[in-house]
Amino acid sequence: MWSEGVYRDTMPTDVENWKSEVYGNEIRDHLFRFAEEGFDSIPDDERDAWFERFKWWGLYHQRNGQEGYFMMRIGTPNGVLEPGQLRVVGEIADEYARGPGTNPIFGDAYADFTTRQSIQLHWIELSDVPAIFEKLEANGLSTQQACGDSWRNIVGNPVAGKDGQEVIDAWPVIRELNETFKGDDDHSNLPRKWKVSVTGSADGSGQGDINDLAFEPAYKEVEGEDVVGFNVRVGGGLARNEPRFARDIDVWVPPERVSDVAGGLSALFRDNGDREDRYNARIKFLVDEWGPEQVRETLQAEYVDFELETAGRDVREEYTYNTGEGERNDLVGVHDQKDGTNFVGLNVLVGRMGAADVLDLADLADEYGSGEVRLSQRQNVIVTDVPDDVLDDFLAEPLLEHYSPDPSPFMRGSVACTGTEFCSLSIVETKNRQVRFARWLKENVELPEGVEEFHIHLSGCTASCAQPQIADVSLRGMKTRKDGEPVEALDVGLGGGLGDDPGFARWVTQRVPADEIPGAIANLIGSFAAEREEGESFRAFVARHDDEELDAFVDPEETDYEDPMMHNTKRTWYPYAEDDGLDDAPPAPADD
Amino acid sequence: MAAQPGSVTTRLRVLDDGAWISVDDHREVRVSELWRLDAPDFCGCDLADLVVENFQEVGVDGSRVEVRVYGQCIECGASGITGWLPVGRVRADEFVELDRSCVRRERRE
Repeated sequence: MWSEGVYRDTMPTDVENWKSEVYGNEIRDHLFRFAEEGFDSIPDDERDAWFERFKWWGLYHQRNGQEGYFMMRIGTPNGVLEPGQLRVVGEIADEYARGPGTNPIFGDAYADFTTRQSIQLHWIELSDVPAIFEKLEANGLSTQQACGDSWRNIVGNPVAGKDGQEVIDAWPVIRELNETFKGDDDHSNLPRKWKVSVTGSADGSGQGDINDLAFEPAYKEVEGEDVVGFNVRVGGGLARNEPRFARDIDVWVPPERVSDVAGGLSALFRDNGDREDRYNARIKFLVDEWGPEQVRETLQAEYVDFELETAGRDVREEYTYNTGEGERNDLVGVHDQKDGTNFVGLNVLVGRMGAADVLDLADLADEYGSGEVRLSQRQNVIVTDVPDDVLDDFLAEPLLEHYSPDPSPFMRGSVACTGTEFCSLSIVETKNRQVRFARWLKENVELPEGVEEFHIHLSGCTASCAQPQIADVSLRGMKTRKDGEPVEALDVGLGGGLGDDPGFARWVTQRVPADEIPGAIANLIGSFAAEREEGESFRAFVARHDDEELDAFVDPEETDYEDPMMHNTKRTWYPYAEDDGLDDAPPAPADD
Repeated sequence: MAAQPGSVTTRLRVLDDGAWISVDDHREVRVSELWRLDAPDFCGCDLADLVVENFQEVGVDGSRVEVRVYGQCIECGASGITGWLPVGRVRADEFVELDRSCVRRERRE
């Protein structure tokens, strides 16, 4: 029976209610209980609450139609996989990351390397979680706080401690932060996610500008001596059509004080972030409201017990990573380590690697390096500690034909989020589509002479997990009609990038049917080649044209590229299933 | 949650950061669809053709379940948050979604 009255509620606060009942470390006992008693033991009317809480332990329930299957995110601080850990990931993927759907490009068991230097596995069953946790934790890995409203995986320059170009080794700082704030009840329930970057290199590869909290290398004169530490920025992020670069709060900290300042800012966010409206909850909105000066004043007055130093002399002018200018826009290829050995960045197209390849790569890392592997924010892997005398043999390994240290620019520049294959939020198919785009562009388009890199990021929605706003070409999931029928489409943005003077892509062309995107990019690059000034980067080319001119350069066009996923992939239980309708969805996996 | 007086309580939620409307703990209405709108306050099109990108709020008016949506008209490019739009009705404890091809009208306050 319904009354005739009008009732309204703003729903996102449900999450705060659920968190207030059970959250943080204590979720684990419940998780294990449900794993023991079976997926069906989670009461129907409690599932959304428990699924929200499980995120804190790195588990996302997959989207509608994939009942009982979870994505598991393993947080690897700074993308560092110590010797042996990649093998553990490969073994877990091989044993557990298999489900009723088979991906036509990647097959049946794979690991996704993410833009936050983490690892995601799919088709995980709840009953397997205790065994997986046991194996991960026995090998120094964890899913704790990989998702949820707390300290997420801390990112940075993945070759911290080894990079010949670094100003300061940030790895000990990152380890300290990870050990301090993972599992700390005082920081376990924040208003929203809390993304931290700590970078010690001069290349900007920690991408601090797009994080809630960033520590960037900087020099400060202390008692007459130049000391290396970190400047602090707060309030960056890309999601929800509200991108922000982190704001400078005029603070410099020595390495031994980073934990105090990070904890102070985390507590400031905990106490002052908006818990009434999740859409307004990230600290970027608090910084909008307060301004960086008030953030600093409040931090000083209420959250630290020592005098904060003013900002030091930064090295932002040297930043190259994801800038679209100069060299070292990524960490792919062979690079010098400061100990005389090499790190070799390997391209992983859209970040996805089959379990068998993960295990093979672990073998190669053992054979040619120290066994250690690191993950970059461009979804690639890096094998470290490769001596000169075995470098050529390593580069000749067959596996590196597929995961190349010298790939086509279109393979190298491709980043994609999870998409409708598994994600509730995405509007369109992404990973496989980006693979198809990259293959087509590699075969059909040449970049102008001297242009070695071209970044194309595809995100399925405004959550921006593929970081679309900081690419040469930004693609974002949309819908349009073609010949009267609804089809998957993409908005096109151009000219984004980081560096000393970061800029977000300008969304110049809207709602391009997905099958016309390769033609649009080909035409765009053709115009760039024809009209660029000598030596001009794509980003500079975009900067000197207005939106109308750029829209004309994009010029969507059908080509021989065929897109099999133009229909609404969200209406399927799994886009690649032979019988893909939601009514054909398999039941939740039976409890063992 | 929107709780109803009387003999039946129906749970309404926005889930997955605005990607789904849940009715009685079942995900029933998704983003990513195209909706035809008679919504002169949203844009100047006779009928807006709205890409549903994100659910902002869910509520109920009588038996009618309504939402406010962030979206974009693919005819004119206007984007923003709509007024209250119907997505379906609850009848005999069952949620029945509106035909997705129907024209939806904003509820007049």
